[in-house]
Amino acid sequence: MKFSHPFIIGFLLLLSLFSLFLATGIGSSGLFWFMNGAIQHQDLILFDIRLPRVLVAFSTGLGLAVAGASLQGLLRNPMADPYILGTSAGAALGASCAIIFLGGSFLFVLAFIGAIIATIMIFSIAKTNSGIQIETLLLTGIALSMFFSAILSFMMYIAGTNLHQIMFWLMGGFWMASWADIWSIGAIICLSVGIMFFSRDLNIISLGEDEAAGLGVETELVKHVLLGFTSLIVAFSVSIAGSIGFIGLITPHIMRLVVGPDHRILIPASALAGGLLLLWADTCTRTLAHDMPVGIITAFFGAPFFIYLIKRRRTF
Amino acid sequence: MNRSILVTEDISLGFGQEEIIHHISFTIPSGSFVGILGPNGSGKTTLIRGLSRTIQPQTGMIHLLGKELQTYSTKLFAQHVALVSQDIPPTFDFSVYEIVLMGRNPYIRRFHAATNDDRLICMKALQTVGIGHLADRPVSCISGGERQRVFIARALAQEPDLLLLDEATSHLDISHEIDILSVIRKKVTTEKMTVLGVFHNLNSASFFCDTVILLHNGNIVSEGSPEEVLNARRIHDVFGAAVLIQSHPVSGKPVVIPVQHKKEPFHHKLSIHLICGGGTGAFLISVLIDEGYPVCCGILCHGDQDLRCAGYYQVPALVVEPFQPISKDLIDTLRKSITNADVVIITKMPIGMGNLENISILLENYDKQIFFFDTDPEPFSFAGYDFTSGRADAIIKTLLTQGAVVLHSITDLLFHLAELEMNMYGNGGADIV
Repeated sequence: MKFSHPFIIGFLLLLSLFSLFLATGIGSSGLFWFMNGAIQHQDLILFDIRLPRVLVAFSTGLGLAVAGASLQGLLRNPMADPYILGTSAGAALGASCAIIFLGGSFLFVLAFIGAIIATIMIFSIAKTNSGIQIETLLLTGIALSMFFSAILSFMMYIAGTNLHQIMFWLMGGFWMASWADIWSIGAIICLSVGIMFFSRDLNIISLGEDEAAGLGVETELVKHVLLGFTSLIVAFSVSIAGSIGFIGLITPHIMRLVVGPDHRILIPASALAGGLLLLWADTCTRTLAHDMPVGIITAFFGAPFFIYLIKRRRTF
Repeated sequence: MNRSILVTEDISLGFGQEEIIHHISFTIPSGSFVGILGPNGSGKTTLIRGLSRTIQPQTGMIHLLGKELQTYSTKLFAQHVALVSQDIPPTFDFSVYEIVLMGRNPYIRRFHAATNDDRLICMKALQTVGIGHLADRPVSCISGGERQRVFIARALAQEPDLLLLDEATSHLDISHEIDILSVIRKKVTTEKMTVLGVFHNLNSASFFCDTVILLHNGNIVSEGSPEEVLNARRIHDVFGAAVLIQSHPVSGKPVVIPVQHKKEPFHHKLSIHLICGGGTGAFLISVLIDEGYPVCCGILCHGDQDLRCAGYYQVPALVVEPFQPISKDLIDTLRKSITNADVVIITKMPIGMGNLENISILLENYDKQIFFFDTDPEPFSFAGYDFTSGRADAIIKTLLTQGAVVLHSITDLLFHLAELEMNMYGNGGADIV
């Protein structure tokens, strides 16, 4: 199974466009593009409910996969996922605050602020005079995630009637997707494209920072840009849809099996594949599973598949 | 005249508060192959890290091509200096070619892709190190030696003026090490590349380097050609190892040979005169000295390997200049030495008219036990070693009839020596601790 890289990208691109078209046509009201006017409010459902939701799902998957692929390369750790740096825990905390104290309004804003605050905290802890230490960053991310989770658990404990709402948000889903999210998905796509321009540096940095510096890579610049961009992508996507697991971890691994470890091809391939995976997961849940949180679907199918990948291939 | 590519003035290097390299200064001429030697912990790798800008000097200045090292941009620096470290397998499974192409990164601007020139340079680098056929293999599917060559190819693809090697060949087998160092040596000779490499193998350094720098505890102990730097005393002082220095039979460069030297006092009373030559006695000398027998030997010719061994063990030896007849005085000295000895050992050495007197003197009937030592289990004779048209063999036959004994192994020899000592000195002969 050896296809040329442009072919793979082209195929994924076509598949994505086709899927976006198809997924918009599928839904619980059961209508397709070509059933002109057969159902009431067809245009409304199609263009104001399904289309934005499809676009948001696709872009979120795209952003998470790009963030996962670049963090795995940057941290030289195949187990890294977009949430490893604690951004999502910060967002979850912000969202819970909105749900408990503001009755659910400003949820997006507070989630985003929570994510940014968490990111800034982690960076300022991991930063030393000689730059960002990757190991410190990883450990700080894990520790702060736990800290935020503790606060979150405490808030859930005292939340009372709002508990259900918080739980629902944490599992992740796209019920609230609307055209208002268009700016967020625009940002996610721009940031993802921005990351692609650092693919060559990412290749080299994945061999080790000292080596990379010796090969003319501005390691501190690349680290700052990539960590900043991925954190923003995660902040946007978590604010829109909660912490949807496994897309950011698994997609890069699948695509590494298909296109190899070269980030110049891995990142665009992962981006499209991540978009596709999340788009179809969301389409499944909203048509077949009574709109249950999509995070349940991705984790339920993602975890066993990941184990299969680990068993199949020891080295990454 | 050679320009100098790298000048360091009074640099100190270390990590945090700890200073590992203490105020050293040296100059690397352009187009030379320089080796950094020193025991573990002497600061070799720290020095390379300083020169590759991984760490900054605590004091002093490093100038590369006339400019202060820290003023170079990362890309420009990578166009001038390439580093090959010890073999570290990459986290992700890139192909050999992809890894080598990374060496072109300093020349490719952001938002640009590699050009055909870059690809050609990479393929050439792969072919230079002899792994052109592995280009599409994943780096996890090649041997350690091949992987190290990948990293050397990547460094060559950088087209550096200065190549830093941090024990880059330490893990390789002897043939790979020589292959790679030869390739690099050729680059130095033909393309005026400069190489500064940390070596563990003193002989590789001696063979390939124009200059070596010997480090000890973060200071430069000695600097110069391998001939100047590598002498037995200095190596003993720095590495704490007993070695012999000989010259390489082909290149004439110094070769460092480790020897086991227990430095036993003479706890035997039985004294030995050893008649040998042409390298047939060297091993006997080392064994007898290690056993603690007082030995003297001769007559040996200047330049003889046995003489070098005797010199190393400080065994008294009678010496004659090459192609000179043995003088009357020297014969007298030999006579005295044999008289003083309790036993005479003769090895199976080449005998010509020049050294015939070494054995003919024994016909003078000293009433000493004579041993012929020959590891060859055949009946003892000088056949094939006799260049005196049978005279040497005749002397041997006479001595054998007079009670000389032929011994074929070291164990036999030591047994007979012990027995003899017992007979002559009784139990107090050997005071073995």
